[in-house]
Amino acid sequence: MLSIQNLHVSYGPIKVLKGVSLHIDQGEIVALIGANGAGKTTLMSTISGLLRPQSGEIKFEGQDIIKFPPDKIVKLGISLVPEGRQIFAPLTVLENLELGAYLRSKDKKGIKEDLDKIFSIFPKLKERKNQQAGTLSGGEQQMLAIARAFMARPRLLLLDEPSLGLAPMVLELIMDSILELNKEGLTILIVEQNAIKALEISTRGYVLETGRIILQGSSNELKEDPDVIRAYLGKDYEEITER
Amino acid sequence: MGGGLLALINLRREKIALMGQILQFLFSGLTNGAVYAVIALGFTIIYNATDVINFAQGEFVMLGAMVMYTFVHFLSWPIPVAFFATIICVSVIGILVEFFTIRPAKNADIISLIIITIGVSIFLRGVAMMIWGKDPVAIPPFTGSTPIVFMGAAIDPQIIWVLVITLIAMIFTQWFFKYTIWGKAMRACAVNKKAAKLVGIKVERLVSLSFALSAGISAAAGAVIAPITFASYDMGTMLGLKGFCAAVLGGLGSGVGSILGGFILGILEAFGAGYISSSYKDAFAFLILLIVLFLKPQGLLGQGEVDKL
Repeated sequence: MLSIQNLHVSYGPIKVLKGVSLHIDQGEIVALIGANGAGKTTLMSTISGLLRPQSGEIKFEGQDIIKFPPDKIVKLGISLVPEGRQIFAPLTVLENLELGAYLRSKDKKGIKEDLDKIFSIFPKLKERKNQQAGTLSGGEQQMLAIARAFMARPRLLLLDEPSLGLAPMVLELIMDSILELNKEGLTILIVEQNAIKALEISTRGYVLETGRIILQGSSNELKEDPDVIRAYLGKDYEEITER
Repeated sequence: MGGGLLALINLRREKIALMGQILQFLFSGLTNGAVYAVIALGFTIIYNATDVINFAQGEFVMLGAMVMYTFVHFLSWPIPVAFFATIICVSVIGILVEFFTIRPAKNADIISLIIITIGVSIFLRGVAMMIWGKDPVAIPPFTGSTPIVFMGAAIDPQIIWVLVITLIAMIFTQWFFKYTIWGKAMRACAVNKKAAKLVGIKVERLVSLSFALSAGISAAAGAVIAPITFASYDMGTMLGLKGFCAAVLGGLGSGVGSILGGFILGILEAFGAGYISSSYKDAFAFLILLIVLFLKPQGLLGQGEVDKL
């Protein structure tokens, strides 16, 4: 569905991505894990068209999308839930969702259907639909950010750090909803520092370190990999070597 | 006894005269205030879309008056046709201004962009002077000029037009932002441009639209006050500054705030000019601006930059 070949991205003189290649197949949940500053958010921004790469290739369903502006990429079916949620705080929850469907704002019936679907997945948002989005709790804002991206009817959903700043119980709820969206047929790329959570819900994973993919495999393999355990799963080095 | 009655009648007369005077000031204040409010709203629309304070805002008002004059005087178009044609014309000028001056410099910092708008205002004033000359021109009132006498105050019928049209402009703008998808998208852009792009909003297109809307309502204000104040190439400077004061007073970025700011400014100015001295009329606006900046820099209804982030 999405394939990235040898992608190079820089911020001015600083090279952030140094030849990243990955692919995502229809219906998968793929995790991209890595420490702060590894280039995860940069990769997400580049796929969404917010950043222009130096070189490389991004193909979505066979089409080269590297020069496309963000609105065209949304139209093709890729939506990003950005890091830190980035909801429209002074607007109401409903207005946020309507703007999610901005590119098909004439499709009133379809929007209504999608709203019903979203409200069944996130009943909290229905309760608060006329409230200012900025007054929601962190978890609810994350739900809204995901819901807003969903309103564009994407086929590929990019999630950038959905766990950021959430309490464990709320996080559980968000992760469940991601699984639910996947069951509805949505392909998902999830970027996380919380590697345990990301590998739990995903089928495959990539490990990004200082701009390069250093490891890839099924999520179960990655969970067992000693380097991953040491670096990202927070287990002590000795604990691993003892095994 | 006869003397007492006379005194009573005199007192009554004075009271009526005083009522009439207050009403006269109030109407004059409301009229100017409504115009300031619309100009302030124009500032707010562009500020919210681009973070730029457009100092060519007053020139859009001037163009409204001058284009209206051209349509009515030279082309002899009926007033309603001329009025709507003026709004469309100046909206297009607004789009062109954005396209040729702001857009090419989009990576410049805000201060540079603001200075560009000052350049635009000087340019538009110069062009207007070349086209229409230096002398003020008169536009006939929309419906006659027989004053309406109301509780001892004589009210120019054009004042009613000013109030009605500016009110429609304000309601239209509020409706636009609250109920249309473009209006909501503009508010979204004002809050978070990156997120706006991520839902597929073409930010440039909305910036164009914001210039069109802002220029359009300012032109409507210009066209409707021209029969009262005369129209000239340099009328926009002071109106623009007053509108800016009103926008700051109301809290830059708040639509309702700018409307409130406009009316407060207009009324204070009218009473100040009436009861203190009319030679200080223009000074009141700036005095109020200074007081606001000292005491409540975020304005009456403003969020302040910190809250906006």
